[in-house]
Amino acid sequence: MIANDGSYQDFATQLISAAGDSHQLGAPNYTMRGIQYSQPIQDTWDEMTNRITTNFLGVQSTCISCHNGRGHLEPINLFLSKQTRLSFWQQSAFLSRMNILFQSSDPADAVYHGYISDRTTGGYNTVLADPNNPGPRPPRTGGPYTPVYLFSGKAPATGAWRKELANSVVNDRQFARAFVNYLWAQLFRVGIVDPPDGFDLARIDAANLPTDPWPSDPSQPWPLQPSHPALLEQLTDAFIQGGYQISPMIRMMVESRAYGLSGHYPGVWTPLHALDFAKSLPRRLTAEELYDSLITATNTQVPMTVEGMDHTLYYAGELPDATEPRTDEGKGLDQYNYIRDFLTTFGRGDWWRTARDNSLNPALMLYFMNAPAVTDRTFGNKFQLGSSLVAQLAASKISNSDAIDLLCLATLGRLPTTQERSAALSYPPPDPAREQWLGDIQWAFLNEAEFFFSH
Amino acid sequence: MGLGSFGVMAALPRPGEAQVLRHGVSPRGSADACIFINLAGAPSHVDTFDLKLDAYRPPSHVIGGTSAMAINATLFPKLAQATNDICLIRSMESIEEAHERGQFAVRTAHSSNPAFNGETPHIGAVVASEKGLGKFPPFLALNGSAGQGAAFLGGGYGPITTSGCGFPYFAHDFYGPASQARFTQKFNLLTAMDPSRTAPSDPSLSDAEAFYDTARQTMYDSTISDVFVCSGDDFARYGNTAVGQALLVARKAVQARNGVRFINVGHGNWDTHQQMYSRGYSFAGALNNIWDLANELDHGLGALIADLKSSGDLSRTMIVVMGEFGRTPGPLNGQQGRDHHKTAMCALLAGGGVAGGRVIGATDSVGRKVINPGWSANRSIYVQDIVATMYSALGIDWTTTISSTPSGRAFQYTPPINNGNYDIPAPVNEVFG
Repeated sequence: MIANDGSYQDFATQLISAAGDSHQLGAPNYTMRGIQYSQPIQDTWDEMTNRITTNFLGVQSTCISCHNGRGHLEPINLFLSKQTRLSFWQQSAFLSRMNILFQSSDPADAVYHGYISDRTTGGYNTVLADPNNPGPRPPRTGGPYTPVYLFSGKAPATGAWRKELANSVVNDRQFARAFVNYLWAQLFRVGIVDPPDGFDLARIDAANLPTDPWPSDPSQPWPLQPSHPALLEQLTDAFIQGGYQISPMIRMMVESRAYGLSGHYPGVWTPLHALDFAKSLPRRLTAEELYDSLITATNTQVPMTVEGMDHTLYYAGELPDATEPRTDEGKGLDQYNYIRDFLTTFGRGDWWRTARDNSLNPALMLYFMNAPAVTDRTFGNKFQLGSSLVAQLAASKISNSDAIDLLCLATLGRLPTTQERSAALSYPPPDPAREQWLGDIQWAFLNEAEFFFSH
Repeated sequence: MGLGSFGVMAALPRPGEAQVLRHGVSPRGSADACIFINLAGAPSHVDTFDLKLDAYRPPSHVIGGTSAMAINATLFPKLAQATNDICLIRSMESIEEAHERGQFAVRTAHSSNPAFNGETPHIGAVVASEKGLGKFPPFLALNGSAGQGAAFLGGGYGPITTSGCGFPYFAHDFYGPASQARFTQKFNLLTAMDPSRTAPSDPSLSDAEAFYDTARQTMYDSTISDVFVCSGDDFARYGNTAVGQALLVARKAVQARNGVRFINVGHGNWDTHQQMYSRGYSFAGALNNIWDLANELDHGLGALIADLKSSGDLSRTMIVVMGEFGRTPGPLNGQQGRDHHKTAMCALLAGGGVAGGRVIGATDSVGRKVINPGWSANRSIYVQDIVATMYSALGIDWTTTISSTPSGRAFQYTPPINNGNYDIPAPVNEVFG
């Protein structure tokens, strides 16, 4: 849907209200990922509520799933400080008529097969199925509760509560605002509201400034939250008027002057300058981006087999799930299971219990310098019957200088600096193969810190 | 194989003193390192380290140990011979009865809380950040993930994770005997080429350069790489199992004495709801009976204790063995297993100043609840108390609070115990000699 420039409204609606077989349809897996296995069902509703408000509205509501905002959140979020646990339960009640039938579909209980449907009766009850397993949140009281949309006070018009929830979410202006801000943060590293999942809805509207005292300086009211409120609202308008299509928004942002700035800043840089989008801020590539960059730079794409797919994939960005590619250890096309190993090592996470980790550390550098999963790709004679970039250059008559240019362009997306060219040209070619010299040059380009970052 | 992190991080933010509050206790400082063996799934206390002689066990099983420290010698033949070196804590309770929440407490000394789980570091990361980073990775996770990383403490304090023997990335081993020289040549090329080294456009790039330099320093250093090289004889002595292999590497890491501080050794599948005494019984492709699991653990742990004692390293190395809760006492359930039970559990401690031959506390005759705490606080012992004991042994102030967290909420090394009384954790000093 997204690839075809469909409406993000439709996409979100499908995820929030998805029903059916998780092994036949994609959308139910949004809920399958949110199931709190071995916890009370209320925790699944609450977790999914937080995911929906976070993913689609930019508001982490999990705080008030345990306690009222008052007395806790005043220094953090003015809007949430005025919400209650009861209001969270009422929001969570939108999900309380959901039936989830599931069973493990692998011996390690890592993959669940589920079927999701909706009842027409029931509500958010607070009774535990197993009193000995109260779950992670403090005891719930009262109920059963019926739905009230936390952000407007609106109750559902029909008994199809999840569809009603989806309708409220996608028609909320905050839905569009949160999306363009997420997109901006992805492209510029810093959101206009940052972090992008930390919206304070009481401090968004420039025409309706908050009057509550600011905890950091009680003589002043709370400031507006967006760094560029007018820009945020114009982007929101553009997204709505464009039918919630994503690609025009991407195009608008990447064609901006701010996006075109380099990572170098001629003046004295302070972290506050990040809010002015005065230079490009580096972002470490995700595991999938890093792998795809590596195989593209070295021209060492490997076919990947994926469960349930009848065609071959080559790029990690295409993988449908963190359990893929699912190939036999050392027997499949994915030689020695390099790909999953690589993606795990660089922090893909499991999209479930283990969060994505885009940090760097010395162990990752050891891996990148020394693991065959990386280094073999710079050996023309070791990989893919001589089709790697190094092998192709070695077989050509191209000059050393031109070869350095091509290796740098392929690896770092730019021509070499004078320093790089000079160092590479004076690098002693190992005896006897020029191929090894080329491989060493590309290994060095790959291991420049720059390779790990979008900047 | 997954990787965590290790090494010196010059740019790593350390909690500033102004953001750290300590209550000024006097840690014991009797240990340099801790080997923490996490028996995930929760072993039955009444069949392991709080053995009830009246409880069911196969008729062929032999009771060993001493009269004060009875041990099922069929399950734990080596430990039954090592009672002079181990201390058993039998007055423990858990506040949890579900695995994930119980495991979170074992890994972090904190109750699972959706708002803070992401920023709560593993106890091994706390140890690493307190003791500092040296030549060797300070926090190893062997035979499975530690389950939690360094969180806000910073990636450099997180675990390096490997199955055990055979961590291959300390060498650039592609050119035979010329490998080291060739690698040096290539690395010199890299340092000469990379403009980020001389003019980084952002701190994240200069951090990456620092990580490269640290990684480089660990290469071709046999005192590091040899830790992960294991011989066939070693395998046999430690049992030729995954946990045995992990315990062997743990021993070698400790004996190397070059910076390792906390080693998490995973040993899973102790969730024996059924056929717990059916030797060979597996569930989901993995052994899931106490007989085989205990034998695996005993084989490796017995060798570990003996080897560390022989080399003189046991006195400076604390070993902690525990799961997340106990199991239902009395007769086996209808499926010949035991279910989850939180009002009684147990732990085994050894080394690092721990007095061998000692038993702390007692449960009732069947092992249902604690009747004698056996320590100065005169209440049941919780995982937070065990962690405080470990921190004390390692010379760490267990009362430390760091306020500079991402959420702004204070992170307490050992927070009040969520048992209804909010008891303040304390070291169980009675375990020490």
